[in-house]
Amino acid sequence: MTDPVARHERAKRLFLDLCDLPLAQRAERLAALRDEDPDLVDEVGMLLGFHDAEAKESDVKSSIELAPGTVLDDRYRVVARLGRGGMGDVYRVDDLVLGEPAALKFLRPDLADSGHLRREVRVARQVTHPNVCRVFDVGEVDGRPYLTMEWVDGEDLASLLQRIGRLPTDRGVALARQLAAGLAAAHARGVLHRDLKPANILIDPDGRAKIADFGIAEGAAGADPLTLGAGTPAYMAPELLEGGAPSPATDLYALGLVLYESCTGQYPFEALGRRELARAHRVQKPAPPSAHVDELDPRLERWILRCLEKDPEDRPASALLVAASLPGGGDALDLAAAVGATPSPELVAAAGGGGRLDRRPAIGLGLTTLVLTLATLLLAPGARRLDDAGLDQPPEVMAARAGDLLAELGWDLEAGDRAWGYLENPAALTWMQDGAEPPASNAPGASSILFWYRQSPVALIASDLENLVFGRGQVGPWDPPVTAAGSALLLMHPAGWLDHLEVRPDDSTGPAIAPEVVLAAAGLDPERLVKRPTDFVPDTFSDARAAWRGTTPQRPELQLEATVASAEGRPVAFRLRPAPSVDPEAQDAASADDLGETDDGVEHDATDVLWSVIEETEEWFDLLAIVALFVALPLARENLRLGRGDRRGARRLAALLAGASFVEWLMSGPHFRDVSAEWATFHERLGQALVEAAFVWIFYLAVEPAVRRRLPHVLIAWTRLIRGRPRDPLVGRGLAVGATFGAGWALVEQVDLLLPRWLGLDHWPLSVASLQLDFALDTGRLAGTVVLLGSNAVYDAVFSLLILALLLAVTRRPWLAAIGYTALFTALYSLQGAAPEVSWATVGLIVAATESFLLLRFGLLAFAAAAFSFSLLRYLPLTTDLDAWYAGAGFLGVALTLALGAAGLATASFPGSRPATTGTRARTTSTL
Amino acid sequence: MTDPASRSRATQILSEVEAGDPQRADELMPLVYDELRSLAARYLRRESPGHTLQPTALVHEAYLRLIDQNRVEWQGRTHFFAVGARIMHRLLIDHGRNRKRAKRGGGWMRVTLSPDVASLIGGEVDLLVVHEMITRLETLDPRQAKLVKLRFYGGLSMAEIAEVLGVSKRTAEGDWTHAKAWMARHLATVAAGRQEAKAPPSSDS
Repeated sequence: MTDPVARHERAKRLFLDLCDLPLAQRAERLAALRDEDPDLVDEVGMLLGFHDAEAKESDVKSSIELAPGTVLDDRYRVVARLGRGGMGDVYRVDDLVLGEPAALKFLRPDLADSGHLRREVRVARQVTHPNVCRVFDVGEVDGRPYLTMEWVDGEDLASLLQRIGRLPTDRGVALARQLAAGLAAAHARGVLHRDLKPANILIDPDGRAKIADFGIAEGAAGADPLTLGAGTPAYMAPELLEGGAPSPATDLYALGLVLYESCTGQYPFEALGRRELARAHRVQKPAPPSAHVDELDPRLERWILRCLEKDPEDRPASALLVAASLPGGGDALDLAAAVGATPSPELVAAAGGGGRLDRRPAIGLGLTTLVLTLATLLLAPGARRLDDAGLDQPPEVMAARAGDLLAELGWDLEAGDRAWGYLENPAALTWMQDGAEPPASNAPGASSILFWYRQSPVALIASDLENLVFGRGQVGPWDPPVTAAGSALLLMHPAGWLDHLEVRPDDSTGPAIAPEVVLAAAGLDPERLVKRPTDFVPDTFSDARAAWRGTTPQRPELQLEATVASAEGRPVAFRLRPAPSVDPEAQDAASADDLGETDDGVEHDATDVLWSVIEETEEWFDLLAIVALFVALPLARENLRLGRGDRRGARRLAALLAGASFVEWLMSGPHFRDVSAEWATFHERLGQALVEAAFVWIFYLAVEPAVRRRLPHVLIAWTRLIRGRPRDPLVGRGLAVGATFGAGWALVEQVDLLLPRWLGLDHWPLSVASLQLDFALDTGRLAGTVVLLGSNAVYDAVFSLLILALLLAVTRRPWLAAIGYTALFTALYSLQGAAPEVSWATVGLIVAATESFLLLRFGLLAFAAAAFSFSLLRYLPLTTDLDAWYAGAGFLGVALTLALGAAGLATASFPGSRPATTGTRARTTSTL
Repeated sequence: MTDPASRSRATQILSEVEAGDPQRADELMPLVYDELRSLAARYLRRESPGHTLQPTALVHEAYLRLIDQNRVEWQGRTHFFAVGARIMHRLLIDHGRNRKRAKRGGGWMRVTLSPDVASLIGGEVDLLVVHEMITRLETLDPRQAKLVKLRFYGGLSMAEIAEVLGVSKRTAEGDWTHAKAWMARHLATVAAGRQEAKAPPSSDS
């Protein structure tokens, strides 16, 4: 009849005309054509029927199925459908932009609105670990949200297990390690899996496990699986079934089940139906995996059972811990670094070797400490010149002499309170700096050290605010200021001569004292002096003033000027200092400008500039500390919230340092006979200790986790000690090595003081002599000082570590950070050296470089020990003169340094009864 | 792994096709044929018998193996898929015939065609039935038949199909809508014919 091709074409045209029309209109058109061509109408009618049926069905189906070749979002070409996940279809696609395969998963449409998905994906994207299937992107097609992720050409664990039953033992261990590492990497970013199960674990062709669908599984959170039917309860932790929130511990429970199943081929619970299964999770104790399989690794079995504990508290503390503790896991801290996780303090304490020292290196280390300490001791007199200062009289004798001097000068004042100490003579330091002959202990006005003595009818209470807060509140020569009527301040040459006098007269009267008596008390011979007028104005009322210039037989080249001011016949002020110029006549003619042109004046200006810089720097540091506190507060809060902060460590360190601060006050004072003053000081110091504790606690919580993440090795011994393992060999090694380095630094510092003298260089003899003598004033002060030096050493060490960690955060490489640290501290320390020509190398480069080496190689504890032994040797008055009144204090410093080293060596060589390794292992498992 | 020589040759041909010499697309045939055959064979060895074969995935894989994608644009890709679809069709037919004839063990039990087709013909189909259907359509409307092959075996999108056929996308979509209805009716007729053990009634008689 008609040509079939033409018929087909006509039918097609009519069909296409009609297929989009409403049914009524279709019927109308078909009816109109029926008479003309009934076959065609029948044909098209049938086609329309099939079309409608197909369209209806594909409406349903197309919402979940995409044709291969379809391009989504102009970016992903569908290659094949991989399967249907619990939440939607998964396709293998090609990313046309990057030219890479990817997996694309459609998610439930209601997820798209919540914003929850985007948030989760944003975080999950940051997780990059070989055992985590990476998440790439989210998008939306026709209102259906989708997620793209790494395409893994392999099989999922569920079907693998279905095929082969169970994994061989070694593969089981490898799987456990990989899954735990993957979980740890995600947990480190705060990403929870929430739906870990065999179907979500892919095994690639190399046999590597990859966990998929991180963080996007919803439904588990807070849902009641019995009523809502969200997810499969087969891998849900008991607390989730009771409506608890997902946590790393719930992921670990799921991990335990997955591993149980993988290693035994059996699901641990025999249960039918959801309700029974939920009950099993809560109450049924799974049979040990070894009940099903013979050759299971015992460590793996133990971890599986630990993961399956009903109480989340009983499960392992972290996935990282599981990964690190499995056979073949390698170094725990390296693993932590690999997954980008912050190792817990427990893990840090458990990491690293035993640190036990063999006898030979132990003896070598001990001998080195001994030699360095003795060398420091032997060089000390030459370097510090304490012994040539003529400090023959102990301070109590000097104080008595001061009282006598006052009486000689006509003052009979009530000594309600007394205080004394030592200070540097700035004039003498200036001579030394100029390379002049060192100050002589036998010449008035030429001692490098002066003794100061104060007395007052009322209690002497330091009032300078900074001194109260940062200077331990000790009374000083001018703090409190000399104001009370009847109080007096004397500075004395160590030989007992008067060097300086300030008296505030009370209403008593006394005999008139001739100025010559004052000059004689200062050790001056009036015969060698010439009287001259002065414009000196003392701080108190005076009705007569005069000055004398001349020399002493001991130092004839040194021109001195003595000034006396008297009120009602008695001296109220005296001072002795080098005359501005050697020639009195020239001096008369000289203007103040000429002064500035002498070398002396220029040097003064330079040191003034230096001091003003230092003061300004201190102000900046204070400001920085305030800013740092405000930065640290939220950081500490966040670390606490995320459970990253080391609460126990922070608590202990805060308690330790605050305790030290308070004990230091108990021992070194100041204490008062006046009960009210004592009570007020008690409050003040207790408050200060508590504030210190709070600051330490906050900063430790804020900063320690970051350091623990970047430099965990540095914290091993420290964490062990702070967590109550003082007898750990690694702690011992830290202390021993620290003592050696500290003695070495002390020796370098001595050499820094000596070298410029040997080489004949101009130098600034910065001395801490007065501080050393003050620390030795009495037993209480000495004991308090040792405590103070200890806690300062800890602050020092933590501060140095913080700087190193900051540098590491910037440079990303430890050796670069070490170089940066060395450069920074070489610059800082050089400023404090004796002469720039040598100090950059000695106290600069050598100390800074060994500091960074010590920190990185032996850790924070060793650094703190080194800082402690260094300060013992530096701040206690070392002397070889056994008769010196301060010799005991110096030898205490030497003894403590050697004792620290010896105790460390003993602990490192003969640790507690248990062998180091098993001790560590036992603790790892029992404390976590 | 794919022979680098064929890889560079295939890419070369496709670049020339792209440069305006569509005839040369036929020169791809032997290269693509070899590649697809070896891929399919490997697929058979690797997969368990329960799995279904997805021709579009194979063509795509062949494309990835044969063509240096940096040197080929969208049009070139379309031509390749068009060629791949034709070859896949042939391969499937041959395979189906062999299996029917010799019953040599293994083989593709089922083939998943493009899902929108699968939905209308009930998932997996007998290859020979599909072949007969397409042959039948070829006699009535060659262009439509070509479209169906591209869709079934190449997994091409409508836009790409329109490009290959040299028609507007609208026309291609119309052809496809009609072809689907026609195939549904054809298959329904075949199924009905089988059930009644009768020869399939001809739709155009």
